[in-house]
Amino acid sequence: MRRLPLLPLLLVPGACREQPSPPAEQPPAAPAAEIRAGPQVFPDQAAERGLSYVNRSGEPSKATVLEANGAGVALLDLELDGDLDVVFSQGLENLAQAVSGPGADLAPFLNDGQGRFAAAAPPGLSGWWTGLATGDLDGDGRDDLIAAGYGGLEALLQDGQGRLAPRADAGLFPADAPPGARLVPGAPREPRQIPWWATSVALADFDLDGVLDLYVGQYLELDPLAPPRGQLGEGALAIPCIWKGHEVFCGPRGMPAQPDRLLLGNGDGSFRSAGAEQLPEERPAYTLGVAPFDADLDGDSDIYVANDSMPNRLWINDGAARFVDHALAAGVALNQDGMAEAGMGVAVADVDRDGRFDLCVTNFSDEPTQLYLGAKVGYRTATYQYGLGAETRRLLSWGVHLCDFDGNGWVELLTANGHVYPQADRQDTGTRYGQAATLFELGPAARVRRVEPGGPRSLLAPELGARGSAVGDLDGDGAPDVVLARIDGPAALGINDLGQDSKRLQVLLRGPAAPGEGPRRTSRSAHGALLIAVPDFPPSVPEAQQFALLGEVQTGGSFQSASSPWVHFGLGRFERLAYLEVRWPSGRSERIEGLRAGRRVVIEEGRGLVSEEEF
Amino acid sequence: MRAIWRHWIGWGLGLGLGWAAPAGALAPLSTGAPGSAGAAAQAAAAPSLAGERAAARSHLAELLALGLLGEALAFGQPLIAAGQPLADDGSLRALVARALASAGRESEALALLEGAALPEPERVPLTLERARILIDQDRLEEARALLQRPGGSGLPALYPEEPDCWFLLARVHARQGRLDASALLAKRFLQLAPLDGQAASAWHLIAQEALSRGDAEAAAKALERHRFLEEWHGLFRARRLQAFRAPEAALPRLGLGLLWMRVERFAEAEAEFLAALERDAQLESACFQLGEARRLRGDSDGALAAYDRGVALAPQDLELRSNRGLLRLSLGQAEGAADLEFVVAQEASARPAFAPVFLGLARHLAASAPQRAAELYARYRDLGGREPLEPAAGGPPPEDG
Repeated sequence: MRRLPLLPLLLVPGACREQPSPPAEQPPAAPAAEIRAGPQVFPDQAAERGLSYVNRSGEPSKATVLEANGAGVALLDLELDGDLDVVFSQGLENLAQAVSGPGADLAPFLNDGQGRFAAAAPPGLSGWWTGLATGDLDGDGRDDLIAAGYGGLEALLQDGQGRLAPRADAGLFPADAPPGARLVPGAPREPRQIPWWATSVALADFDLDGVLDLYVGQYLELDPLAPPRGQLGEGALAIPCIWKGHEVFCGPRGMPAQPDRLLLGNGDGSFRSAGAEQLPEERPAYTLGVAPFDADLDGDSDIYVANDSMPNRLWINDGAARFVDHALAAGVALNQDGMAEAGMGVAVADVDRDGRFDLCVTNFSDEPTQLYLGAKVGYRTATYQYGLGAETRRLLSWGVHLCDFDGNGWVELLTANGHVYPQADRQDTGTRYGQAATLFELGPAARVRRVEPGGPRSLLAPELGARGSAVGDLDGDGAPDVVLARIDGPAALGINDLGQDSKRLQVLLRGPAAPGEGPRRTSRSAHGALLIAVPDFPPSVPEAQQFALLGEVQTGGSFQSASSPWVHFGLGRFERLAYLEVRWPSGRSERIEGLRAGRRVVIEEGRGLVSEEEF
Repeated sequence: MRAIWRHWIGWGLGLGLGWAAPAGALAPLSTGAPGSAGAAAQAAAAPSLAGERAAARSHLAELLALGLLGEALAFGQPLIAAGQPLADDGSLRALVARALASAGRESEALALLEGAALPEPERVPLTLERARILIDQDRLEEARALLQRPGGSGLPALYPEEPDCWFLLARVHARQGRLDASALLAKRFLQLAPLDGQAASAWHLIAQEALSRGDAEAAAKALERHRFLEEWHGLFRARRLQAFRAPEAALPRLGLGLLWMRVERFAEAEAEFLAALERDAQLESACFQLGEARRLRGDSDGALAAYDRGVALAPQDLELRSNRGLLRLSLGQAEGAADLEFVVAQEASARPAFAPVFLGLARHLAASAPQRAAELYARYRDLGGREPLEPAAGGPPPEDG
């Protein structure tokens, strides 16, 4: 049996559990396949493939902070046909329309399996929609959707025909919510009634009862009838809303923040509010990014929260959905200089292949995209050693992904970028309003290298702002593609033709159709399941160059978006796995041996490999 | 924010940070502005030019600290143009370079720093600014070479008298993963500039090193200091911006004074309260705070003058009457008792904050009217006071408050 570089436990003070085996040394880098792309990296084929979504996010002048945040995008299977369909959230022409109506609906697009899309009937919502989250809410085997918004939060269940319909009485606004927390466009509204503004939302089974729960990131108090203009406060103590000397929209600083919420799933698409003791240290903060992941590798889903201009949070779960924030002690609340940055989006992956999850957090301009590598205790800042400081500090980045796009066994970093202030295009700001998406290689040299677009049609070429982004194999070739929810313009679909010689494997995990009976259960969509893939190394590969790949089933992360539930493994030149180990949230482990690359496999808890097909 | 005898519980929130900065330390709202390296050259200059230099540096640093980038460039660039009297000022040149770098014009900034033919003392701020830009560019080894003394012995900082040199070196080491060295350098920086704008960051570096050693207690202490300074500088920046935008308004200056009080910088606080009163002579709360700042500096006469002015504006103000009375009694002026009698007669004084008034008056009357003193002392105890009626010999005035 080959030796697996066992997952060392990420020690978070007060939340750790002993790991039976000592941490393995990080193996030397295996020879990496160069990114070999066509002439253009991620050519944008949204238009020719029918992904005709066009975002509206307020006025071009961006008079209020709501208009700057744009939309999200979700990838999910809407027809149980095995391919990924796309849903976008949508905003309005201006803030006043959020009150007067008509409101916006979501924009679903159905995939024909080859990556060609057709607009589908929308679910009939009315609002200003922001974040999206995916998962099977009612255990029927179909992907469902949570839509968050400015004064809106809806659970949408998928019917047998692939349509999403809002669930009535979903319990997403508690009975004691203040008047006006829900904003219904066109409905009468009183002054000083503040909508609950949900940004990023994420589904995971936090209490391990086999039912998905919901973490709702919330932003700030913006009165749609009296938004601040030009300054906050009055008289001599007013603070002008300026950035680098230019007058800009007000916020978030100086505006009241809203607290995040935790909702526990009932298994039928409805939710109930978690008790206050379950997020005991929750204080209002400007939440923008939410990523569930198993930070301490103890089998439950923890949560990393990126806050705008406030310390980020690392909620460590005790397995019963009771959380304690360890971000400060773990070194991921602030930047290395002790400053709270404007956290926007979050990505999670094992960047350095040491068996620990690492974090990437996107930030404002003049603040780099931060890379935090899991360490024996907490995390260590690797941003500057990787050279990310210089590469990213002029960017304002949102959606973010750590994904092995080229299949060489090392993840790359992709960010969706774009400034919030149109005034960024004025003289001497050091940045621009429209910004191209960026792709960086991170390994094996532990130094970033920016990938050039290679041509004008590349997703990385046009200097257009984007906000939400999601990753998944949309054209069925086994390589993860990218969807960008650009702001105030057409969406982009970057088709991945990187690493065409690389070997890849895609895995979809399913929890049992019938609920288990143990104290811990796996949800039907298997959120939180861990995967460890060990390639079948030929004898010529020295043991020191062997590696294992770590993955987790989570669709949340990035910014206001939900990516594919399929876990992608890039195997480089290796043709098959020695084994794939699955650690289910129920506590069971399964090991599947001999999986071959070039396959898309489905594994169900207790049943093992249930389907396998070639790309 | 008001307090009665707050002196005895301390303005520094018990953090023991040693706020009193050494002479010549950096300005509190640091901009990390280039420090004293050009002092010799400056001193040698004609008095009028020296004043012009100081004023220009201060204004440019403030514009940068307030984020007014365009205004900073418009102000600073002409000053250092060839042939101008201040063109040889290294500190000004460094500040202009910082503004250029913030504007995304780093190559221009580096050219400005590297191309100047200035005498050695004026070159130090240029070198430090260059290092700052190199750090931002992740050129950490190059930055370290600019900041660190060659060789392995003695002080590591090439310019040990410059706090910025220590801080930047600490930042380089932290970014390269050497938290132990970073913490040592940060501590030295804090000795030199405990209230600098980068002091919060220095404490955070120290906390990170403690966390890496698993020393949770030391980390918690350092993080507490970090949090305090971070909040203080945030508030300070906001007040400075308000004062800059509304220079004739009194309230921002009052707010600035209160912030100085929090860090026990009473001289600076006094200056701000006076500035507030220049703008609004009827601002009785500024009179109270001015009295406090002077009292805590040891200027009892000045404090009494400020309280008198406040009482004239607001005769019913309990805090003013309380502190004036207590101060007078502590100076042996028996007429202070009248103020305290006025206070204890008011219903509003039945709060723990006024406990020292009851104790002070009880002590004053202990010999002449023991029954009345006992009643007042009982009320003092009811309000939570715990000191004995008889003061310890040579002891301080009442410490509750």
